[in-house]
Amino acid sequence: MGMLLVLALFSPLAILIRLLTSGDSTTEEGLEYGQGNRDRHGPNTPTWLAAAPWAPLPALLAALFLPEDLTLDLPWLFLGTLLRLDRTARIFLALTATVWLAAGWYARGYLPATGERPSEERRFWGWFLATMGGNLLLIPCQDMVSFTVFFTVMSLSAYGLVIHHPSAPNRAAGRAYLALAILGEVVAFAGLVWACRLAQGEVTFAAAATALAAGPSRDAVLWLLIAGFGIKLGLVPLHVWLPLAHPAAPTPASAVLSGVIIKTGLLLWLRLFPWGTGALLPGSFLVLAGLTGTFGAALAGLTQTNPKALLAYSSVSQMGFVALAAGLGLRADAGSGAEIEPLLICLGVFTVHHGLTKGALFLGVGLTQTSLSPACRRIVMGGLGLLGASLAGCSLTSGQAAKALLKGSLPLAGAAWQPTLEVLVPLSGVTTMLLLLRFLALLPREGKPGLPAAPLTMLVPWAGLLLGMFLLPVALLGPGGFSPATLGLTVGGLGKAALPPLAALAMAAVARRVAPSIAERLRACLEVPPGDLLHLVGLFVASPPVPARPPTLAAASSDVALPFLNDLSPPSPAHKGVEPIASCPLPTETPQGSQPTLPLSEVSPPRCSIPGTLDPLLPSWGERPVVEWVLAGISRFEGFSTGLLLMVLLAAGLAFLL
Amino acid sequence: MNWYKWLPVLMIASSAGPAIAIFFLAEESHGWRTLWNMLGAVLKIVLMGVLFYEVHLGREIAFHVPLMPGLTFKLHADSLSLLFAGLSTVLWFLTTIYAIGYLEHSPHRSRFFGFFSLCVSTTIGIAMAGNLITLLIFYEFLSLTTWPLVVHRGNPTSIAAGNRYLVYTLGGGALLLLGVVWLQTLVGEIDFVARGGLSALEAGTHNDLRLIFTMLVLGFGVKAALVPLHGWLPGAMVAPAPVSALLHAVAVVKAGAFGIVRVVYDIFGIEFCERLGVLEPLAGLAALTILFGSWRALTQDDLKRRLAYSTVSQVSYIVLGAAVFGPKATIGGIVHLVHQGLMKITLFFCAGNFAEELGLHRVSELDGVGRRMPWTMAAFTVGALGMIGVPPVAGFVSKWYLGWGALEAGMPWVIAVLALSSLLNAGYFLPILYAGWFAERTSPWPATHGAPFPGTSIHFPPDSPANMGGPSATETCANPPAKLPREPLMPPTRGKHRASHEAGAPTAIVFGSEGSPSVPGGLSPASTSTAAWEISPLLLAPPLVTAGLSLLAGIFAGSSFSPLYWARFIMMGEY
Amino acid sequence: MDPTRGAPRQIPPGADPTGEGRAPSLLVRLLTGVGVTAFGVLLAWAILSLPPTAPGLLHEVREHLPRSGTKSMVTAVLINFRGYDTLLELTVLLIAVLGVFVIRQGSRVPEPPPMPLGPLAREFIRVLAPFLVIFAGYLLWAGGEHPGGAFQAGAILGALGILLRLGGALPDRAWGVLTERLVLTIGIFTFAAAGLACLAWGETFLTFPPAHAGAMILLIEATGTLAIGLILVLLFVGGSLAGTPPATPRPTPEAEP
Repeated sequence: MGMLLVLALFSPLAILIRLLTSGDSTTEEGLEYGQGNRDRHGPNTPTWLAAAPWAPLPALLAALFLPEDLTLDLPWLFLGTLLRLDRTARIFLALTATVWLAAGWYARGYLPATGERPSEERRFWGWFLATMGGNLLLIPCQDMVSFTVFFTVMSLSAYGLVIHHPSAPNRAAGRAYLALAILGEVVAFAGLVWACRLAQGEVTFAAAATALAAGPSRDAVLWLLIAGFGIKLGLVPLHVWLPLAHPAAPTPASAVLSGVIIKTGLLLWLRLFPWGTGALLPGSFLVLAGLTGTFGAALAGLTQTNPKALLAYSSVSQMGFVALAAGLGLRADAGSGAEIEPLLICLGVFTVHHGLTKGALFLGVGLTQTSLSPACRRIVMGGLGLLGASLAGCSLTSGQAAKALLKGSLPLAGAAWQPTLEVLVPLSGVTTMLLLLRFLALLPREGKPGLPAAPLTMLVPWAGLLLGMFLLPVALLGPGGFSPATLGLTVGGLGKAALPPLAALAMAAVARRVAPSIAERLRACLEVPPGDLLHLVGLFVASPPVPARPPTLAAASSDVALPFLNDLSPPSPAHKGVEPIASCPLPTETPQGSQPTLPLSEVSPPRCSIPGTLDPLLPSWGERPVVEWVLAGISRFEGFSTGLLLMVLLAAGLAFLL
Repeated sequence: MNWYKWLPVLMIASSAGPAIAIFFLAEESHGWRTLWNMLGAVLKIVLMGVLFYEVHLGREIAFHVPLMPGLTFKLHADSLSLLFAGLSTVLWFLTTIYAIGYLEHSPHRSRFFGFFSLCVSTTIGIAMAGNLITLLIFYEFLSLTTWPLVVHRGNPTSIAAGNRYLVYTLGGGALLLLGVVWLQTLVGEIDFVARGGLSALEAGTHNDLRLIFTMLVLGFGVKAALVPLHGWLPGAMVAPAPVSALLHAVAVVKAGAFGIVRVVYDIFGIEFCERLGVLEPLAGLAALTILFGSWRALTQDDLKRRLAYSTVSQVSYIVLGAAVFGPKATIGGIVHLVHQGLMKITLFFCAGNFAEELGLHRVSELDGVGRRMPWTMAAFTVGALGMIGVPPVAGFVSKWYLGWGALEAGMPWVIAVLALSSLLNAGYFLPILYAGWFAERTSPWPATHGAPFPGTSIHFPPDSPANMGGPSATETCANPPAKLPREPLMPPTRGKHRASHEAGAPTAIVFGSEGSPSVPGGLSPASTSTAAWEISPLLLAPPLVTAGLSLLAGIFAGSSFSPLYWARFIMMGEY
Repeated sequence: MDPTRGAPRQIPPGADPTGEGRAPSLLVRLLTGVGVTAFGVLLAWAILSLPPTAPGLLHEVREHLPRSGTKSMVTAVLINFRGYDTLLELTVLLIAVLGVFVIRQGSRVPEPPPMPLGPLAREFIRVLAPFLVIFAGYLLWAGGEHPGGAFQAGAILGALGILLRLGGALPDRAWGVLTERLVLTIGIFTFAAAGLACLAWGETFLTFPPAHAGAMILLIEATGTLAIGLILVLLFVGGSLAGTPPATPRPTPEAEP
């Protein structure tokens, strides 16, 4: 039985292996860019391509139909692996599989429609399947090592998705993403090793969580885990990769990135955190960071010009809620009667709601860029509006259910904080709605010329996610066993839920009618470049990590494609972009007086700053004069016959001996 | 009947014998040479298997012969010996295959393989040494037998590197001799005993013992490339790739680290070391080496030098594991001996492949190599990710145990060192991975398959467009520009970049369409050598095998066939 | 790197074949000076702290002489009691010859052979040569009881070789490479093998069991003689004399009287 689970979760990787072993048999003749034949392969569709969109289906079926608490113990794998399909795992697996399914089918239509060449399509699917495999496999893992393994597979494969179109801004986004991912891995490693040690060597989450709850170094470990996995979650101030990576990745990849990948950090928190033990300091930090994220990211998002960057900020904002709830859970003290269980349930519901909604929003962005019939376009825009309202917690949507559950858990905050939070949470509904209205305004009114109509494979998944968003409250009421009151489905509750979106609508309408130009000037004044804090870092660094301002619509040139249309413009040689430019250091090795001149192959030649991922974030190490001087000194020291030094030591040793 | 005691001798003889035979073979008789090599390697593996089985059952295997009154030559096979000897055996087998492919048209092959086999014998001797005198004898032999391999090419750079190597290792050997002799005069003859045999000494000798410990560690530390005694290692990279791979990434540096492990555990005993208070300075030195090596690697453009500094850094993980008091750290250090050997040898094999097939020596030249040589690049990726500590490659497991052990010993700063080292490793390995897999190639490969023995000039085929350009990489090597100025903002394509340095080169270089992305090396007609394989199977199989082994060592770390299991087995005897 | 094999290396014009041209840096010289001085001072101090009068070991040598396998005290001390030293001395001699080879850098002709001597000298050498061989053999054998032994016999053989070279009887390519190497190293190999054989007989390294000591000493001395003789010759000649001679044209019939 357990093997069934493993097999189901392994299907993406199996298809990936098939992809890698099949040669690239498609030729490029007969395909014109930009036209995107719907099914260019025809009868020659490679097996992996036909199978790839179906890859998450076995996982979805496993989540729905396999018995709960199915356990698989593999002591010989990694450092002892335990897989169990507990309730959290089933919820996460169902959500993850659904969103991946939708994104996969969407990509099947999207990539040809936007003129990707078959070789690029193959590359995309490779990274897509690898990320999918890692994501699905980490969900039932109940021990730290296997979780980390699959988490790493997922994180590193997602890099390939981020830089799928290799332009300079995308590469910069990839660098930021990878740097933070590695940083997160390293910090998480420290935290997990510490937790393992506290658990006397047990690597299972259960043992570690109990050990953490009782242990003396609980806070230290919590800080490390918050930092390490908060990066993935988009916790302020470690969220800076999100607004960079989302516009860079192709649309289906952004959908899963925001929809499910960032939730994996939360999954670890759910498994490992010692809930209800009164960890005040980390918990309060999480609450504050969450609130900062919710409002700060919303405001930053309002000033964006790229709809995908805006959605990324919206994700940061929503994940702020998650952080808030998690912080409340940590702060609470179960010993004095606080109830943690509803909070955890709320987190689960919120995750599902956000995953479906954000996924659908991203998919919708891509839809609006294709050519749709006017009726179709109206439907899509309407659907996107509904999704936005759901995010804001409008009545009768999944958002309302999630927000209601969150409100229900606010008493955990204690008498000091609860009143403030009771005000702030609905207020965030207003800001979210404003954000999403701005998003709707940013969407193009007509499709990019040259792109075909959206194929069914793009429309159906989007519609499916939209439907799922609406079905969630129904599922909660029915099989979930929630009462309408907890979900806020009373008359009063419905009314209260409708207020923030309506208020936001009113504000937006007023701003638009009365003073559109002032609003625009204000926006341009306050514009926050995506990857906000990273630019502060850039003030101290030689070359800025990313282009400081994304080109505005007016300044768009054929050379640098409109950022959010990165994934739609035909891949052209102009995509190459400009290399990060930096001056070159002097040779670091100086030839010795006593040695023959070393030929150039032994001397590090003056090269431009280290090419590749990290160089705008870390200044080229050889560049600073002080560093150069130190390096030259070290080389001289290394060239120096330390053997003579040893001889002197020898003589000294003899003296000692005698 | 006690025939077991001959097993260690047989192990050493199984490569010393072929070595002597190979020395007398003529250059052209590669059939015989290969036969002798393979015979020795296979025999060794069989003997290894027998030894593992016997030691696991708990049998004592020792061979001793009195050399002089008071000096016994002793070989024994305990679990730690077998770890090191097993690693050396398996890797020697793979490196022999690799060397046969790599040196296919090079001169002095009999000489090379003769010394190569001798080196492995001495490494096995070090692994199986039963007391300090024997270890010292083989340690010095190792210096002597590796020197001819460092200077194998015979050009001035190699000889200079060999000179430096000799100065360092002989100096270290002298220091080691002094320490051993002093210890012997203090306590008489002393064997390697689990838990060490010195704890009974009275407190008056403790100062002397600390000094002896320092001398022993420094003596071994030269080979183990502890800072500041590591200066020989980057220079020794001029040796051919098989030499760098096996000897300077696995055998020689591991011999130094192994010596330190032996001193700490089997001479002094870890608990006694803790009492003497020598462990913390050793841990500090190891941490310094880890960070220094990683930092220096960031600034290197030459690929093998970068890997050399990475070796400096990684071998100190083993020393760190020995210096942290606790069973988990011991396991971490000892198992890293195996893991790092596997991963590092993969990296060096791949670097050798890049140089051999495409003439690539620098990191900055590696753009797009993943398309041209995907399997080699894949093996390199596995090794690099393991070095960074990415699970599930084996490096993660050793780091896990090291971190765990450090926390148990109350040294949380070690985790910070490990984390920082991982970040630095990412900093100098990820650009290589990025360049290999994601970057686009804009200039032709420096040399294509069949690049003749370095030291001669490289000739492009006459009709190659690259021939119309500036001098090739090796010719630039022969006439180094004195000091290149800081460059102003340069246009992106590297081909033009290089050409503008060389005096008198025509500036118009025909490269085909600018930025055409997926034309990998197809500019020079001779570069599409073998359509089926990216490189000779003799050169491709070893890195794939070692990469696979490092992956398997990590994935199946919990099983009873992994190096981790054996390290745990060793640890049980030491506490 | 092998100076006696292959074509002579092309040394680029203006290059310094011995690498002596470049002086080491000041720091290296300073440290070398300090190190050597310190070492010298330590040695001097160690020697001066030896007791001024010592009884010597004459008594012990006389006591163990019957078991040493020889009747000459000098030989017993050289080959048996202090055999390790003698082994190392042989090694030093070999290293000296190798050093000479390295300096020669494979140039095959060490020096042009000296001008041939006059007919009287040639006749004298012709008569003397076999006598010297017998004399060397006698010294070797006599070393068992009287002054003599490997070094002395080897010196005689060396003198013989020098005489032959001066007389023009020892051409530049006198013997094969393998032969030369074999003879050069046979002394050390035999000595070491004898030492290891002692291990097989249950003793420690180079401790000859009394039953076999005599034969072993004789064997060691014999091979040592050959080796030392050749080494001395090559040191004088200043290089290797190995190699195959070029094909000489058959002498034309007019040359015969």
